[in-house]
This record gives sequence, structure tokens and C-alpha cells, in this order.
Amino acid sequence: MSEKQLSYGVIALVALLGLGPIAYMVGSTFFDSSGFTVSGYTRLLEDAVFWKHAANSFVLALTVASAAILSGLFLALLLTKTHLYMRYLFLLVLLVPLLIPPYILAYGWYALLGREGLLGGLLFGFWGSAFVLYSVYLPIPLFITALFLRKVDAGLEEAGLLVCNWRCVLRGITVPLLAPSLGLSFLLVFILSISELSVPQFLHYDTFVIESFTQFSAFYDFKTATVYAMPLVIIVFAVLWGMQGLLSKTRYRVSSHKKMLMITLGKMRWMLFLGVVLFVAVIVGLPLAGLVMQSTLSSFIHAVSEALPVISSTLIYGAMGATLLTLFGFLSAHIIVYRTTRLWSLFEKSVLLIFMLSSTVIGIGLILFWNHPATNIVYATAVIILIGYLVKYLLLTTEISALSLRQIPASFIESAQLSGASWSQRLLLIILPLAKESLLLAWGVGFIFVLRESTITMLVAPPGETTLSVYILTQMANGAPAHIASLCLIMLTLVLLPLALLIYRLKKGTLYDRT
Amino acid sequence: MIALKNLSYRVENRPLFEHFDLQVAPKERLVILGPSGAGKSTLLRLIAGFVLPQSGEIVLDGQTVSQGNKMLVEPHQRGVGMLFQDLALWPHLDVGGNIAFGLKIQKIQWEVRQQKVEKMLAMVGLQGYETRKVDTLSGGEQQRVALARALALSPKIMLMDEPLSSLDAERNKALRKEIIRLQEEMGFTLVYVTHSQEEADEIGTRELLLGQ
Amino acid sequence: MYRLFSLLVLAFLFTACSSNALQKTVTVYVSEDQVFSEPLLKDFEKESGIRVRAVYDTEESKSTGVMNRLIAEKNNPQADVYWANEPIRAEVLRQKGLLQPYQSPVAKDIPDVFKSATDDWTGFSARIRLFIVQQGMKDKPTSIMDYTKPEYKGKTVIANPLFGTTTSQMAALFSVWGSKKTEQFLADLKANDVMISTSNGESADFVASKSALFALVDSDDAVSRLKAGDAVAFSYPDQGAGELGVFVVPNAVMMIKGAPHPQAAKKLIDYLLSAESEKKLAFADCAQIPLHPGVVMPPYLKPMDELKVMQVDYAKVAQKMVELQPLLKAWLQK
Repeated sequence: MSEKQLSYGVIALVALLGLGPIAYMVGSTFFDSSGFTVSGYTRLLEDAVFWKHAANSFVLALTVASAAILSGLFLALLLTKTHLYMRYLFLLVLLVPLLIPPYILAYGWYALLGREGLLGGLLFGFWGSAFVLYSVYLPIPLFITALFLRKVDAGLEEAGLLVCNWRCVLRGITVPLLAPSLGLSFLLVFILSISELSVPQFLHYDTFVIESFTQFSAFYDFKTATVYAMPLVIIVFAVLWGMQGLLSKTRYRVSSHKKMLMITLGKMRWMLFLGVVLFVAVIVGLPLAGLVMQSTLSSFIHAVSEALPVISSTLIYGAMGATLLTLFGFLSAHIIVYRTTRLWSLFEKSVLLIFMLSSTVIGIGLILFWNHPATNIVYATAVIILIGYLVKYLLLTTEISALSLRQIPASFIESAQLSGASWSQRLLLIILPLAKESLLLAWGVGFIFVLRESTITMLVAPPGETTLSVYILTQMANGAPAHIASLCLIMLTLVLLPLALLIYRLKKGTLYDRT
Repeated sequence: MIALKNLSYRVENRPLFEHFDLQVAPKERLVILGPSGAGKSTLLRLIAGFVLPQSGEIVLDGQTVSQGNKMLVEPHQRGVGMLFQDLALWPHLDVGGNIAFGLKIQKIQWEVRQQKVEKMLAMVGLQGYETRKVDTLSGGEQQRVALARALALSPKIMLMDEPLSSLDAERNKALRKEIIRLQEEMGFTLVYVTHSQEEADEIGTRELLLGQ
Repeated sequence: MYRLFSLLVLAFLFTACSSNALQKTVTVYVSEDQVFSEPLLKDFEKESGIRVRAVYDTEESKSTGVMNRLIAEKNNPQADVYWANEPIRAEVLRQKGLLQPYQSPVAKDIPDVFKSATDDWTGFSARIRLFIVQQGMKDKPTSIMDYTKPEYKGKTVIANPLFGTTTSQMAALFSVWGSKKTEQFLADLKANDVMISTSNGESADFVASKSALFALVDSDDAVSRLKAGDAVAFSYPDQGAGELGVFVVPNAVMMIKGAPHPQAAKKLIDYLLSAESEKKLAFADCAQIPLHPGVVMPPYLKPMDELKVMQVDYAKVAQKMVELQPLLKAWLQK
């Protein structure tokens, strides 16, 4: 098998598994019983309510992204560029909201504040939705900025320190140098919060994603529903355009020997420490405390014993999904980074398209595409869920692998080539070992996202099979609050365990010091 | 004048300097030589204030700037200019922006700033380069911009960390002469790190060999 | 690498085979809350020896759920039985040609109004739509028209009519009253500042927390608040002579056309429709009212034969519901 054949094989498989169903869905929106039509789209354009909700979505996403960027930048500086006490712990704790299903966080706040009173009233509506989404997506600018901070050449800051203090070096040099990464995180948070369904839905804020979802849940009309999911796709592609521009501008001088310059906090140290403690307590501590308060020890034990089969199948699906995602992510990154075929760019965009498309569209597409007597071996078994996870989250593991592949100097591979290594030997003996750590990271991320997933699982899981995140949702219908809170805590544990293992494996320093 | 008194500095418990003393007279051109890892660059960074020693005292121009591991004077208040080995030109600013950065911080008026930038550019032979992007310049030109930036605030002490190591022989030679000329014109004290004996012989009025 | 690959293949084979291992199975999609339906299905497994493979639904407003799945799977059905928590969904499926008629012998004494005329589905254990009111309220509402009384302006709540049983009730009103009268009623609701909640459960909470005087909710939501010790009471709407009667929302069970296990499907349907199952659902937290006459039930609610029931054709209601959606949506936005 040649390198090209392998690449085409991977592309063909992803196209068959992911693009096929989606093309089928999108294609069907242009046809009705009388032939070609765009009536679904004209109806969408004329739907004033939809566009009003689209404006809501826009305001929400803009608010969340702006707030997350500003505080993410400040926290990244504080937690990576100073010697603040327990800064690594803070970084980790702040990561938690991103790793659990967002509705769990919303449920935690609800458990704490209820629906009544000033705070409960604020929780339900724009401010609550914005706040919960903010805490969910804050880790994105925080970690991206922290990562890029390490890439800023210390010399550039030292040259500035010769003429002014840290405050002005940060303002005049460090932060402007970070501009592309800030832009990147802004767009990412924007996309993610504009496409988020569960939080605004739980907290009653009308967005256009809810609107398109309603088309599915209230009308059972797949064509119209798919049409209503298209504006999001278009927005995402527009944003993607901006993102590529930013990425091409992100040229950093990677410092070869100098360590990142650290800022001495001096007298501010304790005040900032207390500030961060307070912030973390509010953002992460309170909603989780809400869950803990609502559950009781006996309800927790009961929930564990009741959900044991579900937990074990969740772990099995998580592990299998993560393994598949890691493998295909690595192969896809290989195609994209080394441009092994001319289709690499189209392939990269397709992977992104699938990631951004609503899970409902993907789920229904998978059913329509795969549910035939001849393909029962796929559809009537757990294979279909794994396919769902693979196509939905391939982007994540691909990007993680690509990030590390891009850092392998070309000379490493070229010298292997000169020593007579074939492409597959180079892939297996040079690239794979060098990307080992990132594969581990990809596996962890894949595992966590598979755990979080509920919509696709719900639509395609074989009867009798379920995962914890779906189980929690089905129990939320009239289940006892203590039971639901306990299930949420179990979910939290499942997510945090692999995270802890991952950190142990990558060790405290290397996780953050990698450039 | 620069004075390092009884200075000790350890990296990861490996002593780099122990009870180290150094005096540099005003307007002197001290060249520091030595193998890699001998602490040449670290010495400059100690003087600039990017790192603090574990013990000992650093006195610049009669003022104690650090005592033990206590920072008494921040780097930007030490009157020190530095030419970095990798130049450290800020990629998000143009040539003029790089040179004027320090002046702008000191809230010097725009016109005065402009004049100063033009003067500095003329001094390093780069007239008309103000609006050029730094990454479009050749290696030698970047070197001169970095020099102009370091000199813009008329520092009393100038630290140079292997500034010419990446240039070809011809440019290297030309710039050596220019550095000497500028030092004589502006009268700063120069501490110059290199591992080229030839550079040391031409530039230095005194040589110090580290790592013996 | 190869080891990894072979492991993957093994895992695939494992997952591919696991589901076909047991021959005696029945696949059921369930829209009744898992908390209430699962125990009954477990009992069936024990008593019949047939393994039940279930897909449970989330609350309607929280996911696209099993209805979409059933419809998408039309050409190669995976489900044998669908247990809907109201008959409108059953009618939508019937109209899309997804159902296999089956006349269960155990359902003979269930009143015909709760069955499909074509035997496509059969109703059992019902919720009714009643008022939950603050305890000690002097003049309890007695008709849904009370929503429009000026003295209750801004003090009452109803669940979002785009979802669930509230939609069904609106559609039922359209089928009984006609569009002119119902639209007027809707306009009057708006004019009287009726609050809109996302679900019946939330409406009940509004009343329990004294944020609203009364709300039209499902009987199970009302009973659960009463059992939780909230200061609430009930009122059965439109029981007087010449009035409409309560709107009844029975569960509905049906067989899917092309069901892979038709025999087991019939056994499960018979089981669910039995008086014994209705009794279990009556004593469960969902407190559903049996449709078989004479089944013992707890005292919170009146039995069906003491109630005046709204006479509706659920097929018509389902049709109305589809027509109604744009109108209700527009109404919400006003």
C-alpha cells in the first residue's frame, strides 16, 4: 500500500461514513415530490421569528466570546506568567466546566439558585445562559493564550523591559503579539456558543438553534428541519474563513533556549490569589456545590448501583470511540499536514463541516443512510454509534495530531528518508513516536467528548444500549432531583478520572511547558 | 561604571558564579569571551536585571541596583541598552515603531520622537526605513535596526550578546567598525559578549575570559 | 499498530454480535418517562422470559427523541412496539403509515373513545388535564374559560403550547370549538397576561411556589406536587352540564409495521394493556388513571367513571395539531 492509497482510503471512509449521510440530508432539502425546489429556503427567509432568534443568538455569542477573551487573557497571564500560588491547580479546576456536559453546569446552578428570586430570575434568560456558557468556554481562550504565551520569544519582552515596566510591556508587546491567538479563541468561543443548544434551552433563552431543533421535535419534518440547520453552517464557514486568515498571520518566533519570562507579583500576590480563589469558587465551585447539596450519600450509592451497567457501557463506548478517533485523527492529520493528496484541503474543510453540523442532522442522516436490511450489521449494532462519534468529533483529534505533526522539523523526516526509510517506516518509526504524547492527549479529549455526547447516541444507539449522558437526560423526565444530581456527579467523576490519569502521565510541567 | 561585588549565582544548584567580582570603568569596552555555558549571556542578564543573583551586589553608575536576591532598581530604570543575540525585533511593529517604542513610553512628543528616530536611522545608515516591516529586512539591516533601537534612549551602559554571530564575514567586519564608532561618539560603557577572538581583539579595550 | 488494529476489529465484531445473541427479544421505543415505564417493562421481562430492548425518550423539549427515530427508520423498522405517552403521536405515526393494526383481546372493556377506529393503537392508563391551584383558594377555577377572567389577570400560567399535552389540548379545542372560537380564546389568554412556562412541571412549580394562582397541568404533575407536601389543591375543569369535560390524555401502545418480532410485540402490548399494568401505573408516582373499569387506584384523583370526559376524535386532533403549529408559534411571539 502506498502513502497515497492509504490517504485515499481514509478520505473515502470518512466521506462514506460522514459526508454521505449529510450530503443525503442536505441534498434532500432541494427536492420534493414535484422535483427541484427551494421552497424550504424561501420559507426560512420569510420566518421573522427565526431571524429574531438569530439576533438573540448573535448577541449571546458575542457577549460570551468577549467576556471569555478578556478574562481568559487576564487569567492566562496570571496563571502562566507569574508564580501565583497553586496556579496549576487553578488551571485544572477552571478546565472542568468544559469537560462535563454543559447542561450539568446549568442544572447545578438551578439546584443552587432555583427559579425564584433575583438570582433565580437572572439565571433563567439571557444573563444565566451567557454566564453558564461563559464558564463553559472560558478554558478555550485561557488555554490557547497560555499555550501561545509560551511561544512569545522572551527576548522580545526583555527588550521592552529595558525601557519600561511589565505593565507597559504587556500592553505594548506581549498582548499585541498574542492578537492572532486571541482572535482565534474569540472565533472558536463564538462558534461554540452560537451553536450550543442545551444551555439556552434549559435556561429559556430563545436562540435559532433551538428554533431549528423545534422543527425536528415538533414537526417531524426532516427536510424543513435540515433547512433550518443551514444558517449555522453558513455562519461557521464564514467564521472559518476569518480563522484561516488569522492562522496564517500567526507566525511566532519560537525561542530556542530562553525560558518564558515570569512576572513578579510583589505585594499584589495575596490579593490576586484571593481574587482567583473567589473567581474559581464562583465559576466552578458553586454549581458543583449545588449538585453535591442536592444529592445525598444514599442517593449517590443508589445511583451508582442503579446505573452500573450504564456506566460500564459508557466506559466501553468511550474507550472504543476514543481509540477510533485517535487512530483516524492521526491518519487525517498526516493527510492534512503533509498534503499527501491534492484533496487535503477539501478533506480538512469537510471534517470541520461535520463537526459544526447539528448533531440531530447527523443522527437522522446516519439513520436514513445506514438503516437498510443489507446494512443491519452496521445499523442494528453498536457500530453505528461508533461511526457517529467518529464523524462528529474527528476534527478534534485531527487538529490535536496536526498541531504536533507541524512541530516535527522537516529535517527529522528528511534524514530518515536519506537513510532509506519508506513512507510507512517514517510514519511508524519517526512521526508516530514523536507524536506519542499528542496521541495520548487526543485519546483523552476523544474519550471526554464521547462521554459528553447525547443527541447522536439517543438517535442511533441500538435498543437496550445507552450511555450515561443519555441516561441522565431520560431520568430528568420526572426523576427524583437527588437521583439526577447524583448521576451528574457520577458523570463528573467519569470525566475527571481520565483527566487525572492524563495529567499524571504527561506530568505537571510538560502539559503546560510544551511549545 | 559597572561593579559586581561578591556575586553568587546558581542555576538548578549548579554554581555559575561564586564570589565573583567585576569592575568596568566608564567608557570602557569590555569583551567577555568563553566557551558555551560559561555564563557569558547570564552575566549580561544579571546586569540588565532579568535575573537576580542569590547573593552579592550590583552597582551601576554609583547606584546599587540589586542586593542579594532583592531587586532595587527595575531593568527599565537602570539606564541599560541591550543588543540581543537574536535581535528581538518586535514583529508587530515597523522599523520606526521598534525604535520609538521606548521614547513613546517616556511620553516624548511625537515630533521629537520622529526626529530622534530619523537621527538614529541616519546614524546606522538606514535613512527612509521607518515604515518598513522588520521581517522584510536583510540580516544586516535588522542588526542595525536593533542597534538603533538599543541606542535610542541614549543608555549609559550598552550590553551586546553575540550581536554579529549570524552575519557573514564582510558585514561582520563593517558592523564592528560601526559599533566602535558609535561607542566613541556616544560615550557609553560597553560590555560585549562573543566567542570570536578576532571580534574581541578589534572591539575590546579589555578582555575577560570566563569559564576557566 | 497491527495489535491495535486487530483489537479494534475484535471490538467491532463483539459489538456487532452482541445484539443478536438473544432470539426471544422485543424492541420497544418508549416516550413515557423512563422512571415510570422501566419498572413495568422489567416486570414483563421477568414474567414472560422475553428480553426487552428499550429506547427511552427525554422530555419532549430536551431532545428530538424517539418519534424522529421511528420515522427515520420507516424503511427498515427496528422497533416492534411504540409506547407513546399520548395518542397524538400515535396518530401522527398512523397517518405516516408506520403502524400495524392489532386488536388486543385484553382491551375489550377500554372505552372506544380511547382507541384508534382502525385498531392502530390502543389507549391505557391516562393523565387528565386539570387545574392545580393554591391551597385554600376560595373560588377555584371551574372551567378553562376562567383563564380569561379579569380578576386573574397576570396571575395564571400555562405551559408552552408548542410542546406536549398543552399542544394536544389546544388542538382538541380547535377540533371541538372550531377555529374562530379557539383563536378568540387564545387572544383572550394573551390579553389576560397568562404566563408561559416551558413545561407542565414548571407550571405546577409556579403554583406550588405561589408565583401563580392556578395552572392547567397534567394530573401526574399535580399529584407529584401534592405528594411532595406542597400547599396545592386540584380542580376538575368543565364538569357542569353543557360544558366540555376534562381533556383525557391516555398512554397509547401500538405495533410498528414490519416489526421484526411480531409475536413478542403482541405479548408486550397485551401485557401493557392489562388491568394489572394499569393498576401498577396508578400506584406509581405518575398516578395515572386506569381506563379499565373497576381497577383499584389511590385516592388523589377521581376514577374515570366519575369524570365528565371531553369527547374528541384523536385522529382529528392530530390533524389539527399539524395545522396549528404556525398559528401557535405566531401567538407565542405576539
